[in-house]
Amino acid sequence: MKIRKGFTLVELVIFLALLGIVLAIIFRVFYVGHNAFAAGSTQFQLQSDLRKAGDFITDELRYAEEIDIADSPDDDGYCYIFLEDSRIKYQYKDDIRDITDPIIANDNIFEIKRDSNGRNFLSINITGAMQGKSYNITTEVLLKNVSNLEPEAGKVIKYKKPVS
Amino acid sequence: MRYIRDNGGFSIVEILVCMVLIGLIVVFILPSITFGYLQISESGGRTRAVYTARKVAENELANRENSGSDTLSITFGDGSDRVTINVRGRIVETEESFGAHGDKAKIRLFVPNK
Repeated sequence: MKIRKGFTLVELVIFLALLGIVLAIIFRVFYVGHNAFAAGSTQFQLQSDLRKAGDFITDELRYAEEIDIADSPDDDGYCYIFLEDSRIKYQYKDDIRDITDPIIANDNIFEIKRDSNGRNFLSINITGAMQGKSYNITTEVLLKNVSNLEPEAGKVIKYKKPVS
Repeated sequence: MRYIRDNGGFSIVEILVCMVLIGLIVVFILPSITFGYLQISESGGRTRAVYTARKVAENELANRENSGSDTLSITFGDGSDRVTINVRGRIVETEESFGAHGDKAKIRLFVPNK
């Protein structure tokens, strides 16, 4: 057992154990980093999608005319914003566009409200869920060009854009 | 063990100290990895607060009175064509706090008199 150069078995085993521990630490750091990034990008997508939908609905409906909650979208010349297959979509005649990805988790996103003076508000309540994360926004917009609409809730809203 | 020292390598104690130091550095670096997620959550809270404040503001906008004592001045044109319009009304501020640090989203708007 007289050895001039090289490592003993014990030294090699200790080396491998230490290498294993160091690699485990490094792997852990990358794993946590990757998870944090994935969670962040999911949350970001949820938030930006819902914000986009909230802004779109607010901008479209504030000055809209002939607003009503409908059962289903149609190509009858009204504009429609509606919930279908967990997406919020927009339709005008045969032009259908997606406003959000398929992340919407609640059903009745629209509610028409009326105050004591007969002024109408549209209450918007959107919840998004994706890969275990969820996010919700609630807002109201004063409908300037309609009044005395019956309070009603639903997932399809039809309206006409104001004549400019 | 004699020849290990002769070769000028590291002792086991040195390696262990080094590993403890690496561990400490990692512990201090981990929070900065999750910092991005916290910031995204915070901005989500801000968006939600803005929408809530907007809801209050819209209700104020519907509630027009005659008693507002603030004035909004709008000036059109410049030089000799200048025309100034004064509108009476009230200034409304709505505020909504969010996040762990008590940050606030604030909306300030002018509600003209009836």
